[in-house]
Amino acid sequence: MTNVWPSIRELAASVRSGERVAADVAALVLARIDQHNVNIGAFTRVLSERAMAQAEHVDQLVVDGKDPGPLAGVPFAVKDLFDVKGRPTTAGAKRRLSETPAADDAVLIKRLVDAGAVLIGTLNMDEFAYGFSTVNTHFGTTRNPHDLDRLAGGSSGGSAAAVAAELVPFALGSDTNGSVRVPASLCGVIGVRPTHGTLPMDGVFPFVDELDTIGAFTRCTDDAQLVHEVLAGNSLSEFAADPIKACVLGGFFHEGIDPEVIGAVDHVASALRAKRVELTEAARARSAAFLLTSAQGGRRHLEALQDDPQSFDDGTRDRLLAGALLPDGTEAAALASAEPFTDQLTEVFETYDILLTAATPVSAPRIDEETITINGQAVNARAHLGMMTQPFGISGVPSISLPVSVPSSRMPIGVQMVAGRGREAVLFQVAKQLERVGVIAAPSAPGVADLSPLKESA
Amino acid sequence: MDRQSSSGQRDASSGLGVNGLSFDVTADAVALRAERLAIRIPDEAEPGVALQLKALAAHAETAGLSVAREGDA
Repeated sequence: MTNVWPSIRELAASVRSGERVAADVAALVLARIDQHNVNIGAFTRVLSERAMAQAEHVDQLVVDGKDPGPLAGVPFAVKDLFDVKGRPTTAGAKRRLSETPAADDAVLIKRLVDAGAVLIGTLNMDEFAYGFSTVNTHFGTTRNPHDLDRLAGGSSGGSAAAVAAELVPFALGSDTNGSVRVPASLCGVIGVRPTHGTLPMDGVFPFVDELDTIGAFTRCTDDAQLVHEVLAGNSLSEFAADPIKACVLGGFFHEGIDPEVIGAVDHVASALRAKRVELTEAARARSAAFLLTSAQGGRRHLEALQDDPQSFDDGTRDRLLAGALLPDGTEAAALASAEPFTDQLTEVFETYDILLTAATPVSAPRIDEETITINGQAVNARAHLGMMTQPFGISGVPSISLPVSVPSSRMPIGVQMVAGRGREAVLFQVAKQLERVGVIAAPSAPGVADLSPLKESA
Repeated sequence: MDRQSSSGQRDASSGLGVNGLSFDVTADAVALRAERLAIRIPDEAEPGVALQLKALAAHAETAGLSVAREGDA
């Protein structure tokens, strides 16, 4: 399936059957992290002792004739805003390193562990998930495994980079405005944003209640569905429509973005015979998401902004201070302002099963690049990486970022596929179809394929 | 597509903005809010905060809110 790993389903099956030993798998993962993380900066904490103990527990279950679960022995890691028992939940903030250690794992970590998965460590992020870059003053910059001089994206950049570099078979991130889909696009992996409210947020450090979701990063579509089903606690039913009715969005989602990115979207649209549709309220929804995020972020961190504003990264401090100083009523006004776009989506999904856009307006910018060009204008690179994802976050619909196979492109490019609320099954089904015919595939990152004995050890 | 919200709350064209909110991030309004919230903006943060507020005002305008300008009564 990749240079390093079999698929998650195959890996778990081999552990359940006793063909592979979970402790060996965990040890190999730890060795890979030791070898590669120094260059990529994906992990903030590696939980070696816990991982080995958990893996040995899985092996013991197999020896005892018990089923460890559908993710038996599969290593994973989580963005550094999930509670991990016995550790402070940093949310990417230095100021939280002295917090009381979490009394328990986050609910979604528990679900994965109950299914046999093995937690390896925590992953880098933008401070308090407020950003699209994973350039973190305290925990360092996560670099794109496809080009170490380029951004991994954010805010779940550590999660995307860890999967792109094949350090772990899957990772969890959170997506408020695009924090799963943006880094998935820039790093060339699959990133899922489920319907808002589907997955429990217990034990996850919050950002914006109306937007926050949890999603997984994987390298193939079947893995993405399997992990999603374990997280959701139920299997998705098959989606029966054939042929799939797809549309590709023009207007806001098409004008002025990188021609190579448009080419990638058109490639997928052509494979699905998608019709072109315009949703005129998208820009308004994106701005509404910006305002809601800023106002609620400022309100959430008000006490710390009053007491010690210098304890934040400079950029986070300025964004949160500005948000705290917005007029009362901004959050409600922003939510109301997004309603016309949600209405348009409801209408378009009466005709179409899925819609397509780019996941990001450009491929990964250089870390030292301040601006990108949108509509002929130089704009702040980091603020605009989420412009394709933000309108959908505030509408609550599920979406997925898929790496498009573009042989001529040096850096990965992601396409965003969106479905109606609760229709994740459609997303996975269409993604699998595209993968089968080679339209999407996670590219291998250079320089990380060595030390890959799992492929040979089966 | 229908450009109007089914909620009927939005009326940007009349200048009322969404839910009647006037989005005022003029210097005086921000200073008043900072005082009420007991927020002290560090000197080195002032340019960054000002830049953010300017960007947010632009987003407020795109979102259909009625944005107050410096010098507005």
